[in-house]
Amino acid sequence: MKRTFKLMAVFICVVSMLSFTGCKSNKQLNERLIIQGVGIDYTDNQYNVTLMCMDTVQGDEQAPAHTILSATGDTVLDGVTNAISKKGQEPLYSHNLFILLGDAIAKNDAITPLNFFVEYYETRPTVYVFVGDTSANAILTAKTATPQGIANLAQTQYTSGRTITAQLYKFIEDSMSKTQSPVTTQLTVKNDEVQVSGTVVFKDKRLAVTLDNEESLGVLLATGKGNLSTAVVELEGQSQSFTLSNVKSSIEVSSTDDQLIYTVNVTGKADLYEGRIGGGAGKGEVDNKIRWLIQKAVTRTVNQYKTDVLSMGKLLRQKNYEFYNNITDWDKLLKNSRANVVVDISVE
Amino acid sequence: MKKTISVSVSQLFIMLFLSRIIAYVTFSTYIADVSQMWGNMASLPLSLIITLLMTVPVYMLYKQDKKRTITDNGYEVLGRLGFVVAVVYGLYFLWVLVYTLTLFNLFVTNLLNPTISAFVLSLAVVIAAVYGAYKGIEAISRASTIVLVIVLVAVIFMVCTLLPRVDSLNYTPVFLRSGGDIWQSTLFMIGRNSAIPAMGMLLPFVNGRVKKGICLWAFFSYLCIGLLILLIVGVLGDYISTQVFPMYTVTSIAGVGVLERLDGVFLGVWTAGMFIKISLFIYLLSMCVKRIFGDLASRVSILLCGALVLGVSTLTSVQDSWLGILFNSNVTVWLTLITGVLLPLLLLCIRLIKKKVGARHEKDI
Amino acid sequence: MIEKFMNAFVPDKKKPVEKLPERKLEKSLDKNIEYMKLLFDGSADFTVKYVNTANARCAVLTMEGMVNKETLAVSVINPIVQSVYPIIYGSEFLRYLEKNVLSASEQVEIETVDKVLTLIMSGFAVLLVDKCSVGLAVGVQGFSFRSVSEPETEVVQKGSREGFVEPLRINMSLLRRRIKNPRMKFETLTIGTVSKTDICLCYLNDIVSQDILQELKKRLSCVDIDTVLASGYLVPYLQEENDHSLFSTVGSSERPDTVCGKINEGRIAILMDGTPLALIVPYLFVESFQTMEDYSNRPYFATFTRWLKYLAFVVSMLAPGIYVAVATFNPELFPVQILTRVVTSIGDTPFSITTEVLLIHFVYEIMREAGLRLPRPLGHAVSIIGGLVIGETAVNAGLIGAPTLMVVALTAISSYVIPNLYPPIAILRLLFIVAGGFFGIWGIVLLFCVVLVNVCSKKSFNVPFMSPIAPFSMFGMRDVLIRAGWRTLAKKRNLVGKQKSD
Repeated sequence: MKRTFKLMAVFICVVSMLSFTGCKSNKQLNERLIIQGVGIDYTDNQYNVTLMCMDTVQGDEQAPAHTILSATGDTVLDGVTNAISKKGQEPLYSHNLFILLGDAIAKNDAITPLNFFVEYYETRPTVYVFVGDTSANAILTAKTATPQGIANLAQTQYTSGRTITAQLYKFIEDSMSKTQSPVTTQLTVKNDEVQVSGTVVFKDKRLAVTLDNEESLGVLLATGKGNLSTAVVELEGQSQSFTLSNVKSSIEVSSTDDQLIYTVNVTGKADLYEGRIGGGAGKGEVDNKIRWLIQKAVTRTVNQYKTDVLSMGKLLRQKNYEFYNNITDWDKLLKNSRANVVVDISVE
Repeated sequence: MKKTISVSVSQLFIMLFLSRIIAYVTFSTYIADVSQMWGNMASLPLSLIITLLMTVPVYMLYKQDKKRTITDNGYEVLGRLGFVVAVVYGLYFLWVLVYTLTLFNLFVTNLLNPTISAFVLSLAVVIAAVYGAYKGIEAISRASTIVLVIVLVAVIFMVCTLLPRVDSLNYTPVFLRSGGDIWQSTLFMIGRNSAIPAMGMLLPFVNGRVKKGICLWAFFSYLCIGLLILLIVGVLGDYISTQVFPMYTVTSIAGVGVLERLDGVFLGVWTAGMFIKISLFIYLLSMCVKRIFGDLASRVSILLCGALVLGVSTLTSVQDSWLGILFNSNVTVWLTLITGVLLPLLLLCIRLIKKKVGARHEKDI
Repeated sequence: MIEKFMNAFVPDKKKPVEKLPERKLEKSLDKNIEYMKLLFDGSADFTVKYVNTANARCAVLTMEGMVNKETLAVSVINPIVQSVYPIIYGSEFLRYLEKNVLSASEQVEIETVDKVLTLIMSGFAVLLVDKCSVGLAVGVQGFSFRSVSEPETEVVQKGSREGFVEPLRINMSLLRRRIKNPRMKFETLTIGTVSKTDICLCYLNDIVSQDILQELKKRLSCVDIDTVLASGYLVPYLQEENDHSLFSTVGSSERPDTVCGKINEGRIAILMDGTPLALIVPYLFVESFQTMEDYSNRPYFATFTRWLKYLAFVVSMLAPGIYVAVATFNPELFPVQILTRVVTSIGDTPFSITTEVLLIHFVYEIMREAGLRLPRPLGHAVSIIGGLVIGETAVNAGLIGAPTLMVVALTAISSYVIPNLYPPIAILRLLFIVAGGFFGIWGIVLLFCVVLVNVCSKKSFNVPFMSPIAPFSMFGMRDVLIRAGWRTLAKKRNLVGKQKSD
């Protein structure tokens, strides 16, 4: 009886081990296509997908290389499938660093192509979303373009304040709001190098306006994210630069039936460089510069293009839910809105 | 040396706390409207009060005789008909097990790795849980202490890494929801209180201050749920409505330095918590089976219960109509109320009536 | 059903061993000697020295090589031969010899043949007198034994360099020297129906739990092995019934200072003649991480090394399994730089990650066993081969990947931080690799939970094996989470013995 039990147990273990699909379904890492960047364009009613994939054959451990795969399809998933079928490997999306939308698709419909990345189980919600000023394929096939290099451009927001970056979940969340306008980084190719060229603002799934460096910085300052940003102040014909830290901002929104009045309070600390000895810019000049940056940004984005980059809609939703719920013409409110910018920067 | 089962108050309520938190972590579109997650905050205080009130009948039954489980009380009060109580509780525990395992199956197959067979994974979970149940309540309770430490470390890590990503503008006024909506969320919350029927079976094994344990359990459970809601809503905002399992999404966002994409690790931690819950409820189910069939079934009851749970949850996963019933909040609420409140109340009332009748009879004599 | 299945692997060990009735010594010297010679059947080491006096014929029975011949001559034979006696015979004569003639300090009266045999084979000389049914065992042991030296398996930087040796009496003296207290009790027993091995229970009479002591004696009485040659033979009998765990609930140590520390906490030490390893019961899981050196170092450093051990335990048990699971099922956990290296190494090697890791582990275990059994002069050669073959050549040849080798090497080093736990770690590691290779992180977690429940269900003489972690005791944490200072540790409250008032 004991021996029978033992034999039965061994038999069950062996059969189980051999029949478990767990051991059949796994693939070795070298059998998978590791996708590090995705570019999406839309031409002639077809999605053109460009994939940047890790290439461990050509590269080595010290200097990994990448390959570019491109294909078209009726949907993004279709395009991706057509692209990976060139390699015959199972794709691995977990190390995807960014999604780059071409200018054409950004102006047409930026959200629909991202649905696959929102819903697929392997993709990550923290990938960066970029928009190109030309086709995604042209940017990704630039000579010196690398996946990590392109992903690092997202740090520009934190190092110089020249752009505003969004991750996928933030981008989609903003697009779902009835008032919020998603913003993200715009890339370009100059001298075969991929660079940041500004910030794009979306409205109703489409690209509405492109902000230059100063406008991007203005938006960052207004929303309190301008730490480590750099700017230049002109004083008697001489340029003098400063960096900002401890930037804090608050926006107070009040509303009447057809107008939004909002006050942007910005505080922080500025470190001035160049021309400190024998005179230079002071607190007044710095405050004025920052006020000007913010005013320029909000005039263009809020009043001119009726995009809510300052999250005023969300503020109203939080502080005055009834008013927010009853808004019928948000664009009109933004167009007619009035901004008061109060700046108090201490200068070191 | 004599073998007596003894579990401390803290161990019992740690097990029940883990069971409750694990239930919330699986909050998904299968069981509720995830976009209303923030609205659940309004119902938390009310749910806490109602939960504490729900524990009163079970606690009073325990106070009357600290050595008897609720099924023992059923036999003592109802005589031969007491087996009905054991059957009802057994079915409830089976329900909870099938619910948990089915949700786990759906989660794994739809969200994580579609190539893995759900049956194989469920089989592995059930085998591990059956072993845990076989080892007994003392072993499960001690293991739960260690699992709690792991879960707490994971929660603390998650809180620390996600706090910088919280956007306070994602929080909308909570109490603007209608009374009906708040009541619905409250019912949803209290329907997941499978810990209360479990208390009815486990309190006799406990040494310590039970009242304090119940209060702390309820408070910390809802505190933890509130914290999780705050985090998930603060980080994801409206993005929640695009996700099937928001908790999983938020863990895939958590990360610091080279520690990124940690959803796999959090899933492991969650699986450990789920193991405790499934082991515990298989043990409780086997207690009900033993109570009905006696020592004859004692040796094989755990195996049988495990096989039953696996079979039913596998069948349920493939039948949409069964899924609809299983994940119906109203059904869950009623089952929890019956086993957690109504049956204990009924037993208390019948015992009280019997006592009074008996006393009057003695007086007449 | 599970119980029945598991019992297939474990023999019954419940019944106490029956003892045969003992044969008493006869009055006739010749008959006693005849009987002894019959029992030894011409064995070359059994010697009989007849010593005749005016009062009676005597014989001294010894085993060749077990006695100190000089001591025997000086304290037994010469005094008997040279003394002048009053007119007394038989047992009176024996007692006269015992009190007035023999100069050995250890003399024991014996009445049974069994005792005579046991004592002469323990190095005593037994004096039998004609017309007396009582014999006299004289302690003149002179067998060779290893000198007291530092145990190789428990090396410390600060602390005693003494370790137990094979003779039981010397080990007892090593303990007695450290606890100079009459409450320290030694209780000797004999086990092994053929070997009749002496064992000694050592405990502090006032703090040991009598329940545990009685239970220990009951379990020792169930030992039905013929020949007990090492303390490890006793371990299955000392563990709980149906204990199928990889972790042992019986501790061991070769250090007298460690054993004394355990005795002072209410535990019972079991010394065995012929083995330098003392067993300690009850034994808890956390004790595997405690060494004598922890208590010699400053608390902050001791706490640091304690946590290092916990980390090493986790790494040694889980690291290869997690590596396999992550590389196979959850590669998203790898940072990009590590992913690149892992992918490149996998691509260059013919085996899957699971196979690679298992292969390396088996090769490592083979080398480790070889290193243990090899004569020392060859040890260097083995380490060179091991380093060259596995370290460099295999990687260059593309048979295994460098990251895999790194993980396995780290695991191997980590497992030696806690040598007490090496056997369970070695097996569990392989199980985790298989679980990770088949089921990924799920497999690792589920197996971890199974092991956790198994360990939490164990008891060592009714003391939960995972104490003071589970069930949790804050007071116990003073020597688990941290190593508190001696002012705190001195406030004793034993986890396993009787509770002492502070």
